[in-house]
Parts: sequence; C-alpha cells; structure tokens
Amino acid sequence: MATTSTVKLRSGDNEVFEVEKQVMIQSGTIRNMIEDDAADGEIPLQISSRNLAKVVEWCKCMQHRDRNNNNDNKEEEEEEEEWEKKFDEEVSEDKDLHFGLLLAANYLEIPALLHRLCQLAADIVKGKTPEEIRRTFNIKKDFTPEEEEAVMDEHGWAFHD
Amino acid sequence: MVVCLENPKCREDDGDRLCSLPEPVIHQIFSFMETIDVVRASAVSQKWRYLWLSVPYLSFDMSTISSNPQEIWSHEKFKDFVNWVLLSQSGSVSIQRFRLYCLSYTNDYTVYRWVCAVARRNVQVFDLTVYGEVTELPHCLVTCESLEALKLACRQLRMCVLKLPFSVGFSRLKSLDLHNVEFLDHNLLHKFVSSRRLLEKLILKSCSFRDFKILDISSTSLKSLTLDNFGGDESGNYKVKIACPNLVSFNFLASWAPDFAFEDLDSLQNAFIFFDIIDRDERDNESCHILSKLLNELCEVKALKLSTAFLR
Repeated sequence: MATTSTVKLRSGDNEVFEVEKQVMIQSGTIRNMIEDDAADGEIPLQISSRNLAKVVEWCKCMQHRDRNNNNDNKEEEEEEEEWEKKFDEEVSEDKDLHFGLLLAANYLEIPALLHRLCQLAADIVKGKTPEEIRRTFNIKKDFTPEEEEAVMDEHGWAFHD
Repeated sequence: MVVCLENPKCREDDGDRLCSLPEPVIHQIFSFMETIDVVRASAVSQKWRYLWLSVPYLSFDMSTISSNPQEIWSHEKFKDFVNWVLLSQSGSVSIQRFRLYCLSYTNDYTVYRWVCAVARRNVQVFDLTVYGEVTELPHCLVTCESLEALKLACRQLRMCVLKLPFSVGFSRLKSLDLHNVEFLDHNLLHKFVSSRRLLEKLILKSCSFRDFKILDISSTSLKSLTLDNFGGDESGNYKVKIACPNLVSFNFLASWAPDFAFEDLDSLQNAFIFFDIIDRDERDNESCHILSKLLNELCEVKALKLSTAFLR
C-alpha cells in the first residue's frame, strides 16, 4: 500500500501538480500506477501544464459531484451545472484545448471525460457540409478535380437528390 | 504523438488534427453522429475520405434524414443508402452499435436482410424502431452470440405482437428494452426473463399481455427493472410479482396501482413509483390497502420517490 494520500503529476513543461489520489483514480492509467505502488515519485506526463490543469480541475469537479450525489443540495448542484456548461463552452471554442484534452483523456484513460469531449467534437461536425467542416478546422481541400468528381459520384445521394 | 500535437510548431496541420487522433477516439466521436453525417464528412479531404469505412457505430434514422425540408428522401433512397453503407464497410469490422429508425418494409424483407447482415458482423447493441409491424425477431438476431443489448420499439397505434424466443437464443443478452409490444403469453415472458442468466436490465414500456392477469418477473441477474405504463387494462386488476434478489433499481409507472407481490428484494436501493390517477371515490379503502402494503415492502430502500398521488 502506498503511504501518502496524494500523487504528483509532472507536466511536459515541468510543472508539478499535487493532487489527491482519490481524485486521480478516475484515470485508469494513474489508478494502475497507484495500485502497483509506482506512484510514489513524480509521474512524468507528456501533457502540457495548461491541459493537465484542466484535466485535474475536471476530475476534482466530478469527484465532488459523485460524493455529493445523494444529498439534495440545490445550490451546489446548480454550481456544478454552471461549471460544466462553462467547461463545454471553453472547450468548444478553443480547438487547441479540445484536441489536447482529447489526447490527454485517451492517454490517461478517463472514460467520462473522453465521452464528453467526443460528444462536443461530434456536435461541432454534425450537420455541417464538407465545406463548412473545412472552414471550421482550417482544412485544405486536397482533392484533384477528378477525385472530387469521383467522391461526388460515389456519394451522390448524400449531397443532392 | 501527444508531444507533437501539443507543440505549437504543428499548428499548420490544424485541420487534420482530428484525423490524427487515435482511431478509437475518432470512432467515439463518430459514435455520436448519424451515419449520413459521417459519410458526408468523407468529402472533406483525402485523409477524411475513408474514415467512415471502419466506424463500428451505424445509425440510420429515416425521420431525421427526412426532417430537412430541402432534402426529403424517398424510402427507396433511404434503402439504397443503408444498403450501400453495409455493402461498403468491411464485413470484418464488428458493429458495436446499430441503430435503425425506419418503416418496416414488411413486404420486401429489407429490414430482415439488414438485421441478418448486422448480426453476422457481431453486433453488440441493436436499437430498432419501426413504424409498422414486427411479429417475430429474425432467427439470425436471436441466435447472435455477440448481442448484449436489444431495444425494440414499434411506433404505431396498435401494439406489435411479439413472439419471444423461448428456449434458445439471446444467451449473452444484458439489456432488453421493449416499447409498445404485446406478448401473447405471460408464461413465456416469465420463462424468457428467468432463463436469460446475464440479463441485468429490463425495460417494458407501454407493453401488454393478451388476456393479461399476472406479470411475473423472477431473475437472479436482474439489477434494474422499469415497468412503464404496463398493461393498459382499465380495470387495473392485475398482479405484479417480482422476485429478483439482485435488483438495485425499480421503476414503476402506471395509471393505477396493481396488486404487488415482492419476494427477495434485499438488494433494492432505489425505487420510483408513480401512479397518475387514483380514483378516490370508488377505491379509497382498496387503494389505501395496496399502497400501505407497497410501502411496507419497500421500507428498506435507500431512495424512494413517490408520485404526488400518494399524498392525497
């Protein structure tokens, strides 16, 4: 058994975050390290301090929510909803943060965070035409005219009647 | 990969970052989208072009596809589209979730063929809503070894009469969710539920038996049970018998309280009971009796929610 109740995470740009183990066991990767007693030193992570700070903040909020699940505190509930709404907005507007967090949540194995981030990404892509997707993500259209025609032929029913 | 993608030097590749995500993450993003949107996105760029071919989540919804007034699809076109996707994807990609909302195409076996094609691709979650009749589940789905969750909803005024497979099939089923389905025989449902050893979740919404008198659910594996608007018999004279030692969550919504008989509900933690009509004049004594008996049975649960009708 590990002796301390906290775990130290070192970001890719060398910032150290000390977080309660209870909070970080939401991450499968870190939970495994704690169970294997491999979490006593600092855990180096290839995640920027900005993204890591956001992941930690998210984990704290979720843990707090789960702990208070059974007492009906309206005020706290509203506060948490507000926080999640702000999180969604922030992520949806900042693609660097969004992609960084997608990779971090995948690497750290935090299913609930990954689920939320994927849903937000899907909401951005959903219902958009290919041209709108290109504009949203700064994608260059790299089809030759012949290829483009082939794509349109193949997917004819998807674009026009 | 994490390092590269977080390095500001890689910013020029901004647009293709979505395609550079690990494949399971891309699939998870696409899992929240209708298949039509996933296929449309293949016209974005070279990298996006073939992403959809390996996506293990398929969702075809006739009603949302047709909801765009600019682009109303005929049934033929919808059929064509589903056929084309199933034909194009490799048969070796196991389908994690298949969702289909459509007309039944009863006359030409279209849905039947789709179900069989999907069952062969080891479907795990199958979610079917049809605006028409379903009387029997295709044998290929019943015997599909990979199937863990089945949802079947019939959208029409009359209920669908459904024959449940009785001795074989659905051996790995964990979750069953039926809407607007009529069972011909209450014994058959009882046997079906009690012999599915892995079944953890059962939802019956607006379902009924023909000549319905007793709903008898007993299962050692069941953890969550929802009976919503069961029966629809106006007399309300039916009995609900539940014997599920591992049941954690129980939801019951109906217009009137039936006679309950609970056995072995030691694990029950959450119960939600809702009756929307209590006819006080005629049934005052009877209802008090049934409700107090019900509360007695449920006195050990951790969270109990009751409808306001109780407080009268």
